[in-house]
Amino acid sequence: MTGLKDHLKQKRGSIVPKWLTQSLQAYPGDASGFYLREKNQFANPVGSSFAEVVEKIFDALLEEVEVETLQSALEGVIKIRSVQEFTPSQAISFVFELKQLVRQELNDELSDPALRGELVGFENRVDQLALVAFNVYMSCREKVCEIRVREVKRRVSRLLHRTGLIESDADLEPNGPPGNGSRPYPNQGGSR
Amino acid sequence: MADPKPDTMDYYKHDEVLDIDYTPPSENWMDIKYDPAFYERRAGSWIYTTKKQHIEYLGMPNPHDWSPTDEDWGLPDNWKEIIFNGIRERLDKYRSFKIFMDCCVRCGACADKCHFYIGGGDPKNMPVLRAELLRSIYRNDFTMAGKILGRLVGGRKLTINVIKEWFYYFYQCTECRRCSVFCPYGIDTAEVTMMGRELLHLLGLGVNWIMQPVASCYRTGNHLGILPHGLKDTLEFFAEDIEDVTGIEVDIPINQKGADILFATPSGDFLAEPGTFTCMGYMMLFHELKERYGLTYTWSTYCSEAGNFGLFTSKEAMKRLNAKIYTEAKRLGVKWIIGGECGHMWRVLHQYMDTLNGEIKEGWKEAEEPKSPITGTVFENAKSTKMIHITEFTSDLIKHGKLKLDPSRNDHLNVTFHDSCNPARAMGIFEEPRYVIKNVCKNFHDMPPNTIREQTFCCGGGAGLGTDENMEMRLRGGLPRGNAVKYVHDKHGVNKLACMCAIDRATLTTVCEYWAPEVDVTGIHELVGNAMVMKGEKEQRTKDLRLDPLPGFEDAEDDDV
Repeated sequence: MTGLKDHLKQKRGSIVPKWLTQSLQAYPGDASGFYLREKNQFANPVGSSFAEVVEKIFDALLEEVEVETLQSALEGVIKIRSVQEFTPSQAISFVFELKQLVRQELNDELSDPALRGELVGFENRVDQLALVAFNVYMSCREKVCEIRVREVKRRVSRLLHRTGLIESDADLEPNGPPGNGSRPYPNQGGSR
Repeated sequence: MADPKPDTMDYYKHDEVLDIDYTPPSENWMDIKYDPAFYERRAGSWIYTTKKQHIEYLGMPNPHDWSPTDEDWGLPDNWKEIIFNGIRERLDKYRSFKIFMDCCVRCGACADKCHFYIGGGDPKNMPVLRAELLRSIYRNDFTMAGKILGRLVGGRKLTINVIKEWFYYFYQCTECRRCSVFCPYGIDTAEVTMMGRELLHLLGLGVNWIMQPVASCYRTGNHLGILPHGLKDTLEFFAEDIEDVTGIEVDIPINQKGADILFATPSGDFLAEPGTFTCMGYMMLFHELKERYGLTYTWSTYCSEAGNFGLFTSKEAMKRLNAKIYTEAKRLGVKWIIGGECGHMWRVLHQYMDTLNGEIKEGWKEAEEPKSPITGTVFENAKSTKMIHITEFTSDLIKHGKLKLDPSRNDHLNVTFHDSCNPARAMGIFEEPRYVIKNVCKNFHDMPPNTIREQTFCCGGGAGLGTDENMEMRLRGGLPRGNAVKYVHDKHGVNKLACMCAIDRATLTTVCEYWAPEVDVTGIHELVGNAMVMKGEKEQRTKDLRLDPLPGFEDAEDDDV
């Protein structure tokens, strides 16, 4: 008997492109067309990031990896959305769209009760993924605030030095130098 | 049958689940009203408005305090007449403006070339459409077809909503001119933005991050408002650090009459890291040239700024701020001028200065065609302006073997180069900076071809947009650049992004922190300062110009202790 995973593998060629298209249709008309059309990753970082990430996430969901391990993949696109003109719900809505797509694509097959049971499990994992996506979104927003503060300090760094308000440049970086910071996501942060 | 439990299949009615629309509600971008709610929702995408005092100081029209989140923007009663007269005046004065209004065929070649559009997806950031915001008014009221057919030929009526829309989008263009590279007619979108901003200024509408520097520069000689003793103090502070690193006490010649060269640079390098380290690099270079070859230079407290935020304001403001360069060169009696690592300043110096203020050169007796007395090279390109770019100067010195360099001091760096928009696209200066970097660092990797040289992507903070309240917009605009930096980091291990623009040094640091956090930003002459072996310097440097330990030379530091 064919399980959900096999069905999803068979339909991968149709689900993944549709998921990508739907994700990019969140942008106004001309932009979504451009993001879908332009394949050069440097001319179109938004479209190519989405193309890479939705594929990676779909395959990972099929492989049943721990959803938490998909943080960095999600960051590839949520980092972009979190500074674009989206509300938080709009920014991560593409995760939920996968559920609907899978149901549409497997419409006929889902008459099989066993498959429907498996689908509940799959959809739970997508929901968990959405929760992780929210963590990633929040951590990106926090990062924006942090770098804004650091930028303001850098702008007047000489004054801060001279007045003794900071002793070294390291004082501008409460979490260590940018880049080494790799600040944990809220759900990993322990003290949070 | 008992009620099904949640998370069992029977709980969900299949068809109902299919019908759920997960797309959050959104408005149609075409129907956007630029009302207070619009601006309130988009905090992070617009810049705080000019304080009244700066407009008053500059004697510009309609000084008043206002905010885009106000319903009433405090426009004069005859605002419409002012705008129409302003457009008419500029159409008469600038042939380029008239052509740019007329000749666009909306082919779309520019559409997907703007970093704000690529990174943000707002259709009004397509250069063609951003220009159309102004062009539609021109068409409606200044062309016969538009007067008769209006909307049918792309015209629209001038309303307050249009003014509010202009304010939003003309401050979402960094005047980087990447779109112009692709335009078959060569329409210079930067100049359309300039006209848009000039028109807004007629109504007293501007942003503080531009107008405060313009007013400060007019008052004190530099954007940051540093007074003469403050500048001296700052340079002395740098000299202390240089001595700490090299053991050499460098000269700080200020307002020295009869020096060979006047050096002018953006004042951002006096206060903001990492530009401050680039400034130290200049001081070391000129000191070295005096010690080895007797070349003399001077800073000026009156001309303590070569950047020009007037470029982002109006032609008059640009002219006014630029005038001090020739005035001071003449007063000090230097032979020619070198300009530091700055972006937009080079568009003014290279393309506008000679026509704006060329007449000031009359009576400048000592003026000469720039010729390096050390190498004999004549900089024919600057025959008229008398001002050359520091990387032209330094690359020539290196080419002739006039500097002693130890690139191994930069061995811990793996460098890429960001072509700053204006030096690249307005000057075509591509090779000199790369030549300098490759001679002071062993590890260099260029970013992909469609992101460098004339196709370089803007940092997202040029043209007066580089302020922190505009952070989201800048990060959107910085995505294409950050993406290419991330690529060379991942592929080649690049950890340093070199650039030759003060705004870049400030804003790319932020862009990298977000998009390519493993990569740090430097100016070119910081790299030069670190690699240059100066006459009489301490036997072994143990620190770089940031006073960080120099990797590979830590043992020597232990010996010192």
